[in-house]
Amino acid sequence: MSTPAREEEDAAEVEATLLRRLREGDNSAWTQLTQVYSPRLYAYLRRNLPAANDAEDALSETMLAAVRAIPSFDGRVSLAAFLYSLAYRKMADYWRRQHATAPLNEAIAAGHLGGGSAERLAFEELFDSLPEISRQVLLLRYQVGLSVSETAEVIERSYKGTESLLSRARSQLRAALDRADQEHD
Amino acid sequence: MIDWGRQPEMNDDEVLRTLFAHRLADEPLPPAVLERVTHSVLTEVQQNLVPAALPPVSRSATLLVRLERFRSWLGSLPPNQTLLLAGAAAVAAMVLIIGVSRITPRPLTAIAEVAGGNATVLSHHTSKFHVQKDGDVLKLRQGDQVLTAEGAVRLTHFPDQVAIIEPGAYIELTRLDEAGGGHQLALTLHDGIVHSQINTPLQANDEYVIRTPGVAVSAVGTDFTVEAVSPQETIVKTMAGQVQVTMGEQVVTVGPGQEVDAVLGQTLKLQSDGD
Repeated sequence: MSTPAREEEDAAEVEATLLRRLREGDNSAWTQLTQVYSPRLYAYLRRNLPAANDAEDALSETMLAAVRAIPSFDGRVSLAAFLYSLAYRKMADYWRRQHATAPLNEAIAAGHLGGGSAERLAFEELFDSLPEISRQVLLLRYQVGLSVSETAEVIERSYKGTESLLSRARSQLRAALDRADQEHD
Repeated sequence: MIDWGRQPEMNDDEVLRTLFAHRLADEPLPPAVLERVTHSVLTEVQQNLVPAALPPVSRSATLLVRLERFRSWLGSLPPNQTLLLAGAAAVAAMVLIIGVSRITPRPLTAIAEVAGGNATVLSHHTSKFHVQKDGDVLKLRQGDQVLTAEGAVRLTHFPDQVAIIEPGAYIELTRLDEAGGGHQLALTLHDGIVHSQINTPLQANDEYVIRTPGVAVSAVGTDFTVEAVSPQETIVKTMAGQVQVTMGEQVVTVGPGQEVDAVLGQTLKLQSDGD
Protein backbone atom coordinates (compact mmCIF):
# COMPACT_ATOMS: atom_id res chain seq x y z
CA MET A 1 0.00 0.00 0.00
CA SER A 2 1.51 3.33 -0.98
CA THR A 3 1.17 6.17 1.51
CA PRO A 4 0.80 9.84 0.54
CA ALA A 5 4.32 10.48 1.91
CA ARG A 6 5.72 7.68 -0.25
CA GLU A 7 3.86 8.97 -3.30
CA GLU A 8 5.31 12.43 -2.64
CA GLU A 9 8.83 10.97 -2.44
CA ASP A 10 8.30 9.06 -5.70
CA ALA A 11 6.98 12.19 -7.43
CA ALA A 12 10.00 14.19 -6.20
CA GLU A 13 12.33 11.50 -7.56
CA VAL A 14 10.58 11.50 -10.95
CA GLU A 15 10.81 15.32 -11.09
CA ALA A 16 14.51 15.28 -10.12
CA THR A 17 15.24 12.80 -12.93
CA LEU A 18 13.26 14.89 -15.41
CA LEU A 19 15.10 18.04 -14.30
CA ARG A 20 18.49 16.36 -14.81
CA ARG A 21 17.48 15.29 -18.34
CA LEU A 22 16.17 18.79 -19.11
CA ARG A 23 19.49 20.33 -18.02
CA GLU A 24 21.36 17.87 -20.24
CA GLY A 25 19.31 19.06 -23.22
CA ASP A 26 17.51 15.74 -23.66
CA ASN A 27 15.06 16.33 -26.52
CA SER A 28 12.72 13.64 -25.29
CA ALA A 29 12.47 15.25 -21.83
CA TRP A 30 11.78 18.66 -23.35
CA THR A 31 9.13 17.17 -25.63
CA GLN A 32 7.50 15.55 -22.60
CA LEU A 33 7.60 18.79 -20.57
CA THR A 34 6.16 20.81 -23.45
CA GLN A 35 3.40 18.30 -24.15
CA VAL A 36 2.36 18.07 -20.52
CA TYR A 37 2.54 21.72 -19.47
CA SER A 38 1.67 23.69 -22.62
CA PRO A 39 -2.11 23.01 -22.52
CA ARG A 40 -2.24 23.99 -18.80
CA LEU A 41 -0.11 27.10 -19.23
CA TYR A 42 -2.16 28.12 -22.26
CA ALA A 43 -5.41 27.79 -20.27
CA TYR A 44 -3.93 30.01 -17.53
CA LEU A 45 -2.57 32.59 -20.00
CA ARG A 46 -5.78 32.58 -22.04
CA ARG A 47 -7.74 33.45 -18.92
CA ASN A 48 -5.46 36.43 -18.29
CA LEU A 49 -4.85 37.80 -21.79
CA PRO A 50 -7.47 39.29 -24.12
CA ALA A 51 -6.88 37.32 -27.34
CA ALA A 52 -5.96 33.77 -28.26
CA ASN A 53 -2.89 34.86 -30.26
CA ASP A 54 -1.60 36.86 -27.26
CA ALA A 55 -1.85 33.71 -25.13
CA GLU A 56 -0.12 31.66 -27.86
CA ASP A 57 2.76 34.15 -28.06
CA ALA A 58 3.07 34.28 -24.26
CA LEU A 59 3.09 30.46 -24.11
CA SER A 60 5.85 30.28 -26.70
CA GLU A 61 7.90 32.95 -24.86
CA THR A 62 7.35 31.12 -21.55
CA MET A 63 8.64 27.79 -22.89
CA LEU A 64 11.66 29.42 -24.59
CA ALA A 65 12.44 31.27 -21.35
CA ALA A 66 12.28 27.90 -19.57
CA VAL A 67 14.97 26.47 -21.89
CA ARG A 68 17.23 29.45 -21.21
CA ALA A 69 16.59 29.47 -17.46
CA ILE A 70 16.81 25.74 -16.74
CA PRO A 71 20.63 25.66 -16.23
CA SER A 72 20.29 28.15 -13.35
CA PHE A 73 17.06 26.65 -11.93
CA ASP A 74 18.06 25.04 -8.62
CA GLY A 75 15.04 22.77 -8.20
CA ARG A 76 14.16 24.39 -4.86
CA VAL A 77 10.58 24.77 -6.05
CA SER A 78 8.60 22.44 -8.31
CA LEU A 79 8.83 22.57 -12.09
CA ALA A 80 5.18 23.67 -12.12
CA ALA A 81 5.96 26.69 -9.92
CA PHE A 82 9.01 27.45 -12.09
CA LEU A 83 6.96 27.41 -15.30
CA TYR A 84 4.01 29.38 -13.89
CA SER A 85 6.46 32.00 -12.52
CA LEU A 86 7.80 32.47 -16.05
CA ALA A 87 4.26 32.63 -17.47
CA TYR A 88 3.25 35.16 -14.80
CA ARG A 89 6.20 37.39 -15.77
CA LYS A 90 5.42 37.08 -19.50
CA MET A 91 1.87 38.13 -18.73
CA ALA A 92 3.10 41.14 -16.75
CA ASP A 93 5.44 42.02 -19.66
CA TYR A 94 2.48 41.90 -22.02
CA TRP A 95 0.40 44.32 -19.97
CA ARG A 96 3.38 46.65 -19.52
CA ARG A 97 3.86 46.70 -23.31
CA GLN A 98 0.19 47.50 -23.84
CA HIS A 99 0.34 50.52 -21.48
CA ALA A 100 -3.22 49.52 -20.75
CA THR A 101 -5.43 52.45 -19.93
CA ALA A 102 -8.39 50.21 -19.26
CA PRO A 103 -8.32 48.25 -16.01
CA LEU A 104 -6.85 44.81 -16.56
CA ASN A 105 -10.02 42.94 -15.61
CA GLU A 106 -12.11 44.91 -18.08
CA ALA A 107 -9.60 44.32 -20.85
CA ILE A 108 -9.60 40.60 -20.13
CA ALA A 109 -13.37 40.42 -19.91
CA ALA A 110 -13.75 42.34 -23.18
CA GLY A 111 -11.96 39.70 -25.21
CA HIS A 112 -12.76 36.71 -23.16
CA LEU A 113 -13.61 33.14 -23.94
CA GLY A 114 -17.29 33.49 -24.73
CA GLY A 115 -19.58 30.50 -25.18
CA GLY A 116 -20.49 28.18 -22.35
CA SER A 117 -23.51 28.00 -20.12
CA ALA A 118 -25.20 30.97 -18.46
CA GLU A 119 -23.87 29.74 -15.10
CA ARG A 120 -20.32 29.71 -16.37
CA LEU A 121 -20.57 33.10 -18.04
CA ALA A 122 -22.08 34.61 -14.91
CA PHE A 123 -19.35 33.11 -12.74
CA GLU A 124 -16.64 34.32 -15.15
CA GLU A 125 -18.10 37.83 -15.04
CA LEU A 126 -18.25 37.75 -11.25
CA PHE A 127 -14.73 36.34 -11.02
CA ASP A 128 -13.32 38.96 -13.40
CA SER A 129 -14.81 41.69 -11.17
CA LEU A 130 -12.50 40.70 -8.28
CA PRO A 131 -9.28 42.68 -7.69
CA GLU A 132 -6.44 41.51 -9.96
CA ILE A 133 -4.20 40.05 -7.26
CA SER A 134 -7.19 38.16 -5.77
CA ARG A 135 -7.99 36.69 -9.19
CA GLN A 136 -4.37 35.58 -9.61
CA VAL A 137 -4.01 33.84 -6.24
CA LEU A 138 -7.38 32.10 -6.62
CA LEU A 139 -6.53 30.94 -10.15
CA LEU A 140 -3.08 29.66 -9.19
CA ARG A 141 -4.32 27.94 -6.05
CA TYR A 142 -7.66 26.49 -7.15
CA GLN A 143 -7.62 26.25 -10.93
CA VAL A 144 -3.95 25.54 -11.62
CA GLY A 145 -3.68 23.54 -8.37
CA LEU A 146 -0.43 24.98 -6.96
CA SER A 147 0.28 24.77 -3.23
CA VAL A 148 0.35 27.95 -1.12
CA SER A 149 4.18 27.99 -1.16
CA GLU A 150 4.26 27.47 -4.94
CA THR A 151 1.69 30.26 -5.40
CA ALA A 152 3.90 32.50 -3.23
CA GLU A 153 6.89 31.72 -5.51
CA VAL A 154 4.93 32.62 -8.62
CA ILE A 155 3.63 35.96 -7.37
CA GLU A 156 6.92 36.67 -5.56
CA ARG A 157 5.40 37.19 -2.11
CA SER A 158 6.15 35.61 1.26
CA TYR A 159 4.28 32.48 2.38
CA LYS A 160 2.44 34.42 5.11
CA GLY A 161 1.63 37.26 2.73
CA THR A 162 0.22 34.80 0.20
CA GLU A 163 -1.88 33.05 2.86
CA SER A 164 -3.29 36.42 3.80
CA LEU A 165 -3.99 37.31 0.16
CA LEU A 166 -5.74 33.97 -0.34
CA SER A 167 -7.88 34.46 2.73
CA ARG A 168 -8.92 37.95 1.55
CA ALA A 169 -9.59 36.66 -1.98
CA ARG A 170 -11.81 33.86 -0.64
CA SER A 171 -13.80 36.40 1.38
CA GLN A 172 -14.19 38.64 -1.66
CA LEU A 173 -15.35 35.71 -3.78
CA ARG A 174 -17.83 34.65 -1.11
CA ALA A 175 -19.21 38.18 -0.83
CA ALA A 176 -19.56 38.40 -4.62
CA LEU A 177 -21.32 35.02 -4.71
CA ASP A 178 -23.66 36.13 -1.90
CA ARG A 179 -24.52 39.36 -3.76
CA ALA A 180 -25.21 37.43 -6.96
CA ASP A 181 -27.37 34.99 -4.98
CA GLN A 182 -29.42 37.83 -3.46
CA GLU A 183 -29.91 39.46 -6.89
CA HIS A 184 -31.03 36.07 -8.21
CA ASP A 185 -33.55 35.66 -5.36
CA MET B 1 -31.56 33.09 -14.26
CA ILE B 2 -28.63 31.53 -12.52
CA ASP B 3 -28.87 28.55 -10.30
CA TRP B 4 -25.98 29.15 -7.96
CA GLY B 5 -26.66 25.90 -6.18
CA ARG B 6 -25.40 25.32 -2.71
CA GLN B 7 -23.14 28.07 -1.39
CA PRO B 8 -19.67 26.68 -1.01
CA GLU B 9 -17.87 26.70 2.30
CA MET B 10 -15.07 29.10 1.38
CA ASN B 11 -12.43 27.61 3.65
CA ASP B 12 -12.75 24.22 2.08
CA ASP B 13 -10.06 23.93 -0.60
CA GLU B 14 -11.73 20.92 -2.25
CA VAL B 15 -15.03 22.78 -2.66
CA LEU B 16 -13.25 25.74 -4.21
CA ARG B 17 -11.31 23.51 -6.61
CA THR B 18 -14.57 21.86 -7.68
CA LEU B 19 -16.22 25.27 -8.11
CA PHE B 20 -13.38 26.48 -10.33
CA ALA B 21 -13.31 23.25 -12.32
CA HIS B 22 -17.03 23.49 -13.07
CA ARG B 23 -17.50 27.23 -13.48
CA LEU B 24 -14.33 28.38 -15.25
CA ALA B 25 -13.98 26.84 -18.71
CA ASP B 26 -10.45 26.14 -20.01
CA GLU B 27 -9.87 26.94 -23.65
CA PRO B 28 -8.05 23.97 -25.26
CA LEU B 29 -4.67 24.54 -26.87
CA PRO B 30 -4.94 24.04 -30.66
CA PRO B 31 -2.76 21.05 -31.79
CA ALA B 32 -1.01 23.23 -34.41
CA VAL B 33 0.09 25.66 -31.69
CA LEU B 34 1.40 22.80 -29.55
CA GLU B 35 3.32 21.52 -32.57
CA ARG B 36 4.80 24.97 -33.20
CA VAL B 37 5.77 25.50 -29.56
CA THR B 38 7.37 22.04 -29.36
CA HIS B 39 9.35 22.79 -32.52
CA SER B 40 10.57 26.14 -31.14
CA VAL B 41 11.50 24.58 -27.79
CA LEU B 42 13.53 21.79 -29.42
CA THR B 43 15.33 24.32 -31.64
CA GLU B 44 16.15 26.41 -28.56
CA VAL B 45 17.37 23.29 -26.73
CA GLN B 46 19.71 22.46 -29.64
CA GLN B 47 21.10 25.99 -29.58
CA ASN B 48 21.36 26.46 -25.82
CA LEU B 49 21.68 23.17 -24.02
CA VAL B 50 23.17 20.46 -26.26
CA PRO B 51 26.98 20.42 -25.78
CA ALA B 52 28.83 21.70 -28.83
CA ALA B 53 30.76 19.19 -30.96
CA LEU B 54 34.55 19.28 -31.08
CA PRO B 55 35.82 22.04 -33.36
CA PRO B 56 36.21 20.47 -36.84
CA VAL B 57 39.44 22.38 -37.48
CA SER B 58 41.36 20.54 -34.75
CA ARG B 59 40.15 17.14 -36.00
CA SER B 60 41.15 17.96 -39.57
CA ALA B 61 44.52 19.21 -38.44
CA THR B 62 45.24 15.97 -36.56
CA LEU B 63 44.22 13.89 -39.56
CA LEU B 64 46.46 15.90 -41.89
CA VAL B 65 49.49 15.42 -39.63
CA ARG B 66 48.89 11.65 -39.55
CA LEU B 67 48.49 11.48 -43.35
CA GLU B 68 51.68 13.44 -43.85
CA ARG B 69 53.61 11.01 -41.61
CA PHE B 70 52.18 8.02 -43.52
CA ARG B 71 53.09 9.60 -46.89
CA SER B 72 56.70 10.15 -45.72
CA TRP B 73 56.95 6.53 -44.58
CA LEU B 74 55.56 5.26 -47.94
CA GLY B 75 58.06 7.47 -49.81
CA SER B 76 60.94 5.79 -48.00
CA LEU B 77 59.90 2.27 -49.18
CA PRO B 78 61.42 0.62 -52.36
CA PRO B 79 58.93 0.26 -55.36
CA ASN B 80 58.37 -3.54 -55.03
CA GLN B 81 57.51 -3.23 -51.32
CA THR B 82 55.14 -0.36 -52.07
CA LEU B 83 53.23 -2.47 -54.64
CA LEU B 84 53.06 -5.45 -52.27
CA LEU B 85 51.79 -3.24 -49.50
CA ALA B 86 49.10 -1.68 -51.74
CA GLY B 87 47.83 -5.14 -52.79
CA ALA B 88 47.72 -6.39 -49.21
CA ALA B 89 45.90 -3.26 -48.09
CA ALA B 90 43.27 -3.67 -50.83
CA VAL B 91 42.61 -7.33 -49.89
CA ALA B 92 42.42 -6.43 -46.18
CA ALA B 93 39.95 -3.62 -46.88
CA MET B 94 37.68 -5.95 -48.90
CA VAL B 95 37.75 -8.62 -46.18
CA LEU B 96 36.97 -5.97 -43.58
CA ILE B 97 34.03 -4.55 -45.54
CA ILE B 98 32.51 -8.01 -46.18
CA GLY B 99 33.06 -9.06 -42.55
CA VAL B 100 31.51 -5.94 -41.07
CA SER B 101 28.47 -6.14 -43.35
CA ARG B 102 27.90 -9.77 -42.29
CA ILE B 103 28.25 -9.30 -38.54
CA THR B 104 26.61 -5.92 -38.12
CA PRO B 105 22.84 -6.34 -37.74
CA ARG B 106 20.82 -3.95 -39.84
CA PRO B 107 18.65 -1.75 -37.63
CA LEU B 108 15.02 -2.75 -37.71
CA THR B 109 12.70 -0.15 -39.13
CA ALA B 110 9.00 0.52 -39.50
CA ILE B 111 7.77 2.41 -42.54
CA ALA B 112 5.88 5.64 -41.83
CA GLU B 113 3.98 7.78 -44.31
CA VAL B 114 2.76 11.29 -43.50
CA ALA B 115 -0.72 12.15 -44.79
CA GLY B 116 -2.79 15.32 -44.69
CA GLY B 117 -0.34 17.69 -42.95
CA ASN B 118 2.96 17.98 -41.11
CA ALA B 119 4.36 15.68 -38.44
CA THR B 120 7.46 16.09 -36.30
CA VAL B 121 9.75 13.09 -35.85
CA LEU B 122 12.30 13.02 -33.08
CA SER B 123 15.08 10.56 -33.93
CA HIS B 124 16.35 8.60 -30.94
CA HIS B 125 19.48 7.63 -32.91
CA THR B 126 20.61 11.18 -33.76
CA SER B 127 18.67 13.17 -31.11
CA LYS B 128 17.58 15.47 -33.94
CA PHE B 129 14.03 16.30 -34.91
CA HIS B 130 12.67 16.73 -38.42
CA VAL B 131 9.41 18.17 -39.64
CA GLN B 132 7.98 15.77 -42.23
CA LYS B 133 5.54 17.02 -44.82
CA ASP B 134 2.41 15.54 -46.35
CA GLY B 135 3.37 12.54 -48.52
CA ASP B 136 6.84 12.00 -46.97
CA VAL B 137 7.81 8.36 -46.43
CA LEU B 138 10.42 7.57 -43.80
CA LYS B 139 11.88 4.73 -41.79
CA LEU B 140 11.44 4.83 -38.02
CA ARG B 141 13.67 3.01 -35.58
CA GLN B 142 13.18 1.91 -32.00
CA GLY B 143 13.05 4.93 -29.66
CA ASP B 144 11.88 7.39 -32.32
CA GLN B 145 9.00 9.69 -31.37
CA VAL B 146 6.27 11.14 -33.58
CA LEU B 147 4.13 14.22 -32.95
CA THR B 148 1.30 14.80 -35.40
CA ALA B 149 -0.37 18.20 -35.94
CA GLU B 150 -3.06 18.51 -38.64
CA GLY B 151 -1.77 15.44 -40.47
CA ALA B 152 -1.78 11.73 -39.64
CA VAL B 153 1.03 9.16 -39.89
CA ARG B 154 0.47 5.63 -41.22
CA LEU B 155 2.92 3.21 -39.65
CA THR B 156 3.47 -0.33 -40.99
CA HIS B 157 5.73 -3.11 -39.80
CA PHE B 158 3.87 -6.40 -40.27
CA PRO B 159 2.38 -7.54 -43.59
CA ASP B 160 -1.17 -6.22 -43.97
CA GLN B 161 -0.93 -4.09 -40.81
CA VAL B 162 -1.27 -0.36 -40.37
CA ALA B 163 -1.32 1.89 -37.30
CA ILE B 164 -2.86 5.25 -38.11
CA ILE B 165 -1.55 7.91 -35.73
CA GLU B 166 -4.36 10.45 -35.82
CA PRO B 167 -3.83 14.25 -35.89
CA GLY B 168 -2.86 15.74 -32.53
CA ALA B 169 -1.23 12.56 -31.20
CA TYR B 170 2.15 11.88 -29.60
CA ILE B 171 3.68 8.40 -29.77
CA GLU B 172 6.98 6.70 -29.10
CA LEU B 173 8.21 3.56 -30.85
CA THR B 174 9.24 1.76 -27.70
CA ARG B 175 9.99 -1.67 -29.17
CA LEU B 176 10.97 -2.80 -32.64
CA ASP B 177 12.55 -6.19 -32.35
CA GLU B 178 13.07 -9.67 -33.76
CA ALA B 179 13.06 -12.23 -30.97
CA GLY B 180 12.03 -15.88 -30.72
CA GLY B 181 11.53 -16.12 -34.48
CA GLY B 182 8.90 -13.37 -34.49
CA HIS B 183 8.64 -9.62 -34.86
CA GLN B 184 7.67 -7.34 -32.00
CA LEU B 185 6.27 -3.83 -32.31
CA ALA B 186 5.24 -1.73 -29.30
CA LEU B 187 4.04 1.86 -29.39
CA THR B 188 3.59 4.07 -26.34
CA LEU B 189 0.75 6.49 -26.89
CA HIS B 190 1.31 9.53 -24.67
CA ASP B 191 -1.58 11.54 -26.05
CA GLY B 192 -4.26 11.30 -28.75
CA ILE B 193 -5.61 8.44 -30.83
CA VAL B 194 -4.07 5.50 -32.71
CA HIS B 195 -6.29 3.37 -34.94
CA SER B 196 -4.89 -0.08 -35.78
CA GLN B 197 -5.80 -2.55 -38.50
CA ILE B 198 -4.21 -5.99 -38.69
CA ASN B 199 -5.89 -7.77 -41.59
CA THR B 200 -3.67 -10.85 -41.63
CA PRO B 201 -3.34 -12.51 -38.23
CA LEU B 202 0.15 -12.25 -36.74
CA GLN B 203 2.39 -15.31 -36.35
CA ALA B 204 2.79 -17.18 -33.06
CA ASN B 205 5.80 -15.20 -31.77
CA ASP B 206 4.81 -11.86 -33.23
CA GLU B 207 3.66 -9.17 -30.85
CA TYR B 208 1.76 -5.95 -31.48
CA VAL B 209 1.18 -3.83 -28.39
CA ILE B 210 -0.02 -0.28 -27.82
CA ARG B 211 0.67 1.10 -24.36
CA THR B 212 -0.65 4.21 -22.67
CA PRO B 213 0.56 5.43 -19.26
CA GLY B 214 -1.66 2.90 -17.47
CA VAL B 215 -2.83 0.36 -20.02
CA ALA B 216 -1.40 -2.19 -22.47
CA VAL B 217 -3.49 -3.27 -25.49
CA SER B 218 -2.29 -6.30 -27.46
CA ALA B 219 -3.74 -7.83 -30.59
CA VAL B 220 -3.03 -10.57 -33.10
CA GLY B 221 -5.52 -9.82 -35.86
CA THR B 222 -8.10 -7.10 -35.54
CA ASP B 223 -9.32 -3.54 -36.12
CA PHE B 224 -9.25 -1.33 -33.05
CA THR B 225 -8.67 2.19 -31.71
CA VAL B 226 -6.76 3.30 -28.61
CA GLU B 227 -7.26 6.81 -27.25
CA ALA B 228 -5.06 8.21 -24.46
CA VAL B 229 -7.57 10.69 -23.05
CA SER B 230 -5.26 11.67 -20.16
CA PRO B 231 -2.44 10.00 -18.20
CA GLN B 232 -5.19 8.43 -16.05
CA GLU B 233 -7.72 7.41 -18.71
CA THR B 234 -7.59 5.31 -21.88
CA ILE B 235 -10.46 4.26 -24.17
CA VAL B 236 -10.14 1.12 -26.31
CA LYS B 237 -12.73 0.32 -29.02
CA THR B 238 -12.72 -2.83 -31.13
CA MET B 239 -14.37 -2.88 -34.54
CA ALA B 240 -13.33 -6.42 -35.55
CA GLY B 241 -11.41 -9.29 -33.95
CA GLN B 242 -10.34 -9.13 -30.34
CA VAL B 243 -7.82 -7.26 -28.26
CA GLN B 244 -6.56 -7.89 -24.76
CA VAL B 245 -6.48 -4.90 -22.43
CA THR B 246 -4.25 -5.08 -19.37
CA MET B 247 -4.28 -2.56 -16.53
CA GLY B 248 -2.20 -3.62 -13.53
CA GLU B 249 -3.54 -7.03 -12.50
CA GLN B 250 -6.77 -6.67 -14.47
CA VAL B 251 -7.13 -8.20 -17.93
CA VAL B 252 -10.20 -8.02 -20.18
CA THR B 253 -10.79 -9.12 -23.75
CA VAL B 254 -12.56 -6.56 -25.89
CA GLY B 255 -14.55 -8.11 -28.74
CA PRO B 256 -16.17 -6.66 -31.89
CA GLY B 257 -18.45 -3.69 -31.15
CA GLN B 258 -17.22 -3.44 -27.58
CA GLU B 259 -15.24 -0.76 -25.80
CA VAL B 260 -13.56 -0.34 -22.45
CA ASP B 261 -12.92 2.92 -20.62
CA ALA B 262 -9.85 2.21 -18.49
CA VAL B 263 -9.45 4.68 -15.61
CA LEU B 264 -6.48 4.11 -13.30
CA GLY B 265 -7.56 2.81 -9.92
CA GLN B 266 -10.99 1.71 -11.15
CA THR B 267 -12.36 -1.62 -12.37
CA LEU B 268 -12.19 -2.32 -16.10
CA LYS B 269 -15.74 -2.45 -17.48
CA LEU B 270 -16.77 -3.62 -20.94
CA GLN B 271 -19.49 -1.75 -22.84
CA SER B 272 -21.19 -2.79 -26.05
CA ASP B 273 -22.45 -0.57 -28.88
CA GLY B 274 -26.02 -0.87 -27.64
CA ASP B 275 -25.23 0.07 -24.00
